[in-house]
Amino acid sequence: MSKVRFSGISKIYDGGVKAVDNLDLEIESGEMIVLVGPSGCGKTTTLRLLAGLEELTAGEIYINDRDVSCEPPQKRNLGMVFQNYALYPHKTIYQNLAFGLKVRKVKAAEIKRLIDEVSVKLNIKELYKRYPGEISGGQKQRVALGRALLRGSDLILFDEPLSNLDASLRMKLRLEIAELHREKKFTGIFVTHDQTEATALGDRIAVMNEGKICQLATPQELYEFPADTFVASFIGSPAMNLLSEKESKELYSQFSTEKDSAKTVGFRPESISLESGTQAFKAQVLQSELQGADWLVYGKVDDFNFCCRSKCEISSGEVLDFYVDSAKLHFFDSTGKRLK
Amino acid sequence: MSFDPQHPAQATSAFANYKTLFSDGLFSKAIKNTAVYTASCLGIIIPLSLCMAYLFSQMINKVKYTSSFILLLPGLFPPIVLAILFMNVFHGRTGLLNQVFIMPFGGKPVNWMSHPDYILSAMVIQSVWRWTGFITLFLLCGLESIPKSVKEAATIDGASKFQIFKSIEIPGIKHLIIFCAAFLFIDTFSLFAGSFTLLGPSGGTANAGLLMVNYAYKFTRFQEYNLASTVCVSMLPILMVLTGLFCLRRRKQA
Repeated sequence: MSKVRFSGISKIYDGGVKAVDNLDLEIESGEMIVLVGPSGCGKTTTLRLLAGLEELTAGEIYINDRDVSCEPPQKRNLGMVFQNYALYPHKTIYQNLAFGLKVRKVKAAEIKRLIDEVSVKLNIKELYKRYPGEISGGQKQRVALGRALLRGSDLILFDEPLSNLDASLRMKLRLEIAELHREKKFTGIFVTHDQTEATALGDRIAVMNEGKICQLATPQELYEFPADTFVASFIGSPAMNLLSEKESKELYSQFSTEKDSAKTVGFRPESISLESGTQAFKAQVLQSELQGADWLVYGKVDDFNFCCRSKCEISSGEVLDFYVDSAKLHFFDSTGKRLK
Repeated sequence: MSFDPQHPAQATSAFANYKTLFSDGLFSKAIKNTAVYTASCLGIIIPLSLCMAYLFSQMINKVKYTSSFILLLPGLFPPIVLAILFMNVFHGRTGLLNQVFIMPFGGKPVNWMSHPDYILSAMVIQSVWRWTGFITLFLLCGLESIPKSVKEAATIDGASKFQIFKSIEIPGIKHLIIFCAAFLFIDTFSLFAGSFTLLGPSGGTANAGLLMVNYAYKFTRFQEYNLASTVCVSMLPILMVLTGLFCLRRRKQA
């Protein structure tokens, strides 16, 4: 089994851009950890540093307590799935899967056996003779997944593997990856900018911003106790409503009475009710949007725009009472950190 | 024209010119020389360019593009200018090749342009100098067009740099290599100006540097145009068959 430890790693590119900034992270064996964050937050760089595709500027990386910081990718013994599949275009699917094994001088009969085993699982057996240019995106990503599994390592890196697929396929492959992980118990590091993917797949999620980890926690903890306003606004869809004094003085003073040092109050769209709650406020409805089972209602108080869920459509312009439970309020200090 | 008899006395057969030609020892010599010349040019230039392109692809961008531009320059010379330039390189005593590469190491100066054993090599050297840079640039562009992530995937798969070059990069630019080979083949097979300027109309000592086109030219000096055109026409099937082979291989790839 593979454990990974990042110890104070940094990556500064030639232009002086700090992609990863003194990052510490420990990944248990058999765990699926998701690095999530907006584009440019350093999540992909972190993954590439682990794979050895980028050189560290500072810090060390340990795989199973072995310092691999200076080792080339070939020696790190890990599998990787790329966003654009990165299959070898002039090789057939079978040759694509066999390449890594051939390089490691595995016997032909053994290669056949291993590939057959993985292909049955991934449902790509009938593609053996085709070329990457002749198969669909979903099939390509399955082949790439197969190639990573065949690497013979229980550490697999996923670099936004589902971003190039359409929505329904993305969901399907996401489930397949989760199932594979449950079955094979590999250690997985999954990079994505899609928070639904992150919460669906991750045992733990590291939310990253500007080269740093803002919070490392289980999906549930992230949702219930976001460590700062960035995590609060990043996790959850639609995002948490964040209210500060400058948006609506009146509403702010109504909510913030409980914590004096709070500078921002947050509450999730799900915490707003149209029927009952401890705190009530009047607001004008801007518009409603159907989202499958329920409606998203956008409202406004002074300069404060918020969003909530409703069972029925509410016509724009209406002024209504909205209720929030004080127990479901989140408080953040002036630096954006969560107050206990 | 090639079917019109050159001399009225031979009017018996439409293939009289071909008969004359095939019985001429020089014809087979010209074919042999051309074959050796073309094969050595291809055999040297393609692998050499491939290695150079690989080395360039490993360099940082600034160096890479400046030096590959310099490499392009020899290919821009018209062959006649090139041949005149090379007269100074190949000169029997004062030539650059002798002065720099042979005499300092205690070797005897070689008379590149008049010794029958060396004439063809001299011509190959000239062609290598002319085309290697140009072909390198082509192949470099090909290597650059291979997606970085494909090479990265191969490193993750555990492949060494050489294995990636052999199994990922070369197959990735196979179509370009075939194109370059076809281009070189056509150029070298029908070379005229280069060898003409270097050796004059004679084809060099003992005809050691006689190529097909020069052979055809030889006849025109004696107004034997029918024979000259016979030589040219007989080049056609060879060019067609070999170029066809290139295309066939190309189609198999696709």
